[in-house]
This record gives sequence, structure tokens and C-alpha cells, in this order.
Amino acid sequence: MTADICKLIIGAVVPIISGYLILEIILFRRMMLGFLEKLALAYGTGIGMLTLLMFYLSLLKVRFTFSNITLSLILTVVLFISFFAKRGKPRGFLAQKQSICLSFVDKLLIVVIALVSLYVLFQALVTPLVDWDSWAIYGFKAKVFYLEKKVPLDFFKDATKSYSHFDYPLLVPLAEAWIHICLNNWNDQLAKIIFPLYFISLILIFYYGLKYFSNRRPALFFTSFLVTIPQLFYMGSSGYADLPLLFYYFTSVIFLFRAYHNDLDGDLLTISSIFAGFSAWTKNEGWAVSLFNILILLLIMLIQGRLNRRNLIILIRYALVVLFIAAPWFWFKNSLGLRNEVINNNLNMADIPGNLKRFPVILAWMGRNMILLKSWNLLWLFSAIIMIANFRKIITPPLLFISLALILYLGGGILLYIVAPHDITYYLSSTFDRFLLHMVPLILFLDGLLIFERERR
Amino acid sequence: MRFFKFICIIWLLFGTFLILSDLKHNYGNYKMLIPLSLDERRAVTTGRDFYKFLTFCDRAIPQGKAIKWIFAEGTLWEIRYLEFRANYYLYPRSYRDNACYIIVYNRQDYKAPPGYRLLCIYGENKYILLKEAD
Repeated sequence: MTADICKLIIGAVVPIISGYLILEIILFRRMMLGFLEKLALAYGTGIGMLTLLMFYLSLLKVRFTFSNITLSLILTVVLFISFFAKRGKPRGFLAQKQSICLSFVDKLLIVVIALVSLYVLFQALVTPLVDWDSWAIYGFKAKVFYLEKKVPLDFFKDATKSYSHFDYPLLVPLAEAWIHICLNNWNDQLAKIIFPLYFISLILIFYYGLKYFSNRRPALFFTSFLVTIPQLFYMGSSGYADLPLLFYYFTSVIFLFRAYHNDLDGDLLTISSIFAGFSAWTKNEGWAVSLFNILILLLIMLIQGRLNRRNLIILIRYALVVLFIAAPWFWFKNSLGLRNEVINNNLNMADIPGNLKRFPVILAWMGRNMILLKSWNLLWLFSAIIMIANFRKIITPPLLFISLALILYLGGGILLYIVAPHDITYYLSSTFDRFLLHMVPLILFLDGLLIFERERR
Repeated sequence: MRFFKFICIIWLLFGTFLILSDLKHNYGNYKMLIPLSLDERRAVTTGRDFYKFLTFCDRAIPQGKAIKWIFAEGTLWEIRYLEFRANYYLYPRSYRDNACYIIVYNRQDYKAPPGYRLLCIYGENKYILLKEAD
């Protein structure tokens, strides 16, 4: 057991270190972020990079072994360091000096956040994969990749396994497979470690993001609100890809917003684009996230009247980073003819006008779902009051950009429910709470800004 | 601000109550699961009898062989649950219609097709058939 714990720690630490080193050399030394915030970004980047690397290794017919993966990871980090080592000097433009004197309330809130995080960690590691999608889709693929020591092409041609949604991106199953490889054993219980780590990373990004725009106390309050949303802490241990997706989605939007406040700073936009790309490598919805971010970036440039050459290059670079991360999987699945059950297989355009009558059904479902306090705590009630009271603020820049990210995501989701060829009641009942969950951190972040945003110099 | 302070207190109290309720609701499960091995935990979360039958199949059927399963009749989702769980735990064995091994679980009226013989029995209506040539 002790040996397993050590291997598990190695499995978690290797992506964090590699992600940290790469971000440090490309970005961190040019900006001052909190150390824990850096670790959270490093975890998301490290897992994304590691799984992409595993995918490339498989395409190159290199077997998944601990040494093969680790050596190629080291090589990648060295390549990045040698390529970017001379880039830029430390600037420190995001430096925020605050005393670390914590009041009783601050300490209490930190204890609440820490205890919930520990509970999520405990919940994740006390059971093997239980929830349907977690084992039938992600856990199953992870086992296949671990045992085959590659991403086997035959797997995607076997109709008896098509229920595992062949077209879904591979970040989560490859991350779980990585943990199996580190353990040298198929262990669908310890492989769940990746989810609480995403949960903790999300909390850190949320806290530091809000602290950047307000102060420690409001940031702590809103972070404790976030962790006490039952749907979220439940998702922290379930093994679904929704938590990694919302982590990448949230981080990409927050850093886009921070870039807006820093004259469209290239480094902040790079982080945003990397995380948008990883969201598309996590779930298909991530493509929409990336597209919406690009649209918002374009809108920012248009509103500022600065659609000049420099900004066009920034926009193109953003899109290229997303494509660099997410396009290989897109190419792979298209080359194998892997189809999405909603978009490609059963969608009949002629049905869409008839499906518009679903709109009130979807809205009613949304309303019913949102008032479930045992799922969402006071989130939707609180947000509705705050947003109505500050309506003018949310439709004018800069908060307009966060509102827009939410509206586009909500609109995209509703459109998908309208066009989906499924029985709508079944489809809503099985997915709608998770769809709402994707927007939760961003909505709470917006609430926090509406109440506490201070003027930035 | 007064409204916000009021919401803060309600939110955190209610949130704490929800988490403690969850803990209380699951306390018995956690207490039961903690001393168990991974295998026993899988049995609890999958369904004890079915999981033990699958581990029996895992020992009896060589890896990489094609298998076919015959389950008790049930609703679509009941059958799917058994099929997908069998796929999950028995991989790298894969389902094929014309398989060397047929695993029968809780099907009372199943008649072995020609060319198959009984390989081993786990319990009543729970057994594995093997193709004669294999």
C-alpha cells in the first residue's frame, strides 16, 4: 500500500513538475502569479501535455511504459527550455503585495475550503469508478490503453464497444491510463486521483482570479461558496470529464478577461489559449469554448477599435495554439470515421424546425433544475438577484465579456438540446445538470466581480 | 452589503449542512468500504454476485479470447449494465457473436448451441461453455 501511495504521488507530481517547468520558461518568469496559482496552472498544463504526448507516442508506435513516457516528457521539456530560454525578462506586472495576516474569518473560510477539498479527495479514493460514464466511457478506455500499452486503432473499429463514445477526446482516459502505468497495475480507484486534483486546481484558479480583481476576503468567501455547491464537490470524485472540462473552460475565460485588463497581454492570452485548447482535448464541448473565446477576443478588439496588425496576429496565434493542441485528435477521429452520435449520425436538418417546440421544455427543465437547493445551494437564486440588480454592469464592458462567454455557452447548449435526435426528456435528465455545472464557476466569478470588483490601476 | 452578509451566512450554513448530510448519508458506506480490499470494494459497487461471477470468468477464460454472454432477461438498462460491466472487467476479452466461450449468468432457459460443452459451473444458471474445437 505504501509503495502504491508513493507511485501515485509520482503519477501526480510528474505532470505538475513538467507543466510548471514549461510554463515557468515560457510565461511564469515574465509574470507574477501566486505560487499555488502556478501549481494549479501547471497541473492542468502538465496533464494536458502528458496525455497529448501519450497520444503522439501511440501514433509513432512507441509503447506506453513509464520510462518511455517520462523520457519523452523530459525531452519535450528540454526542447521547450532550449527554444524559449532566452525569451523576455521578468516583468512582474501582475504583482500584488498583500500582508499575509489572516483574520479569524479568513482562517475559518480557509478551513472550510480545505476540509471540503479533503472530503472530495477522500470520496474519490474510497471507491472504484461507480458512476456510469466514469467506468463505461473513460475508465474502460483507460484500461484498454493501459493493457494494450497504446491507443489501439482496432478498439475504435469494434462496434461492440461503441457505447464508450469513440469520438470523445482522450485527455481523461489517457490521464487515468498514466496513473495505471505509474502504479504498474490496473487500479480504477487510485486512478481517480486526477479528479480531486482538478477540483483543487479549480479552487486555486478561482480564488486567485477573484483576488486579482478584488481582495482576499471576498475571494475567500466566494471560493467557499464554490466548494459548498454539492454538484461540484460531488463531481470532484465522480470520474466524469465534466470537472476537467469546466476547469479548462473557466481558466481560459478568466485569463482572457485578465488579458483584457492588461492591454491584451500576450502571455495571459497564451495561457487562455492553451487552456481553451485543452478543453477541446477533454470534451467535444471544448471546441465551442475555444470558438467562443476567439469570438470574444475579436469583439474586444472591435469594441476597442484596435483591430490592427498586432492584434490580428494575437488573434491568429490564439487560434493556432488551440488548433495545435486539439487538431491532432480531430484529424485522428476523422481519419477513422468516428462520428458523434448527436452531430454526425442522427441529425436531420429537416427535424430542426419541428424541434423548436422543445425550447419551452428546455427552459422549464432549466428552471426546475436551478431551484434544487440540494444540488446548487443558493447559487442560482443569489446570482439571479445580483444580476438583476446589476443588469447594466453585465451588459457593458468589461463584465460584458464574461456575460457573453456564459450566454454563448448557454445558447450553444440549448441549441444542441434543440437539434439533438434523442428523446429530449431522457437527454435532459441525463446531461442537463452537468451542462449547467460547466458554467457554475464563471457565474459565481461574475457575481463576485459585480459585488466586489475594485478599480484596477 | 447587508444583503451579501445575510446571503454569506445562509449559504455557508446551508452548504455545511448539505456536506454534513452527504457525509451522514454515506457514513455507513464509507465505514463498510474502508477496511475492504480493492477487489471487495469493486464487488460492493458492482453487485457482489455478478462481480464474483466475473472474477470467476476472469480466472477461467484466457486473456484475449472472444466471449459471448447470455444474461437474464431484464430491462434495456439492466442488460446494458451487465454487458458493459462484463466488457469493463473482462477486457482484454472481447464480445463476439461467434465466440469460443459463452458465459451464462442467471438465464434459466438457455440451451447450449451445438458444438459447445460445459467448461465450468459457478452456481445455478451461472456457468461457462466452451466451443468443442477449442
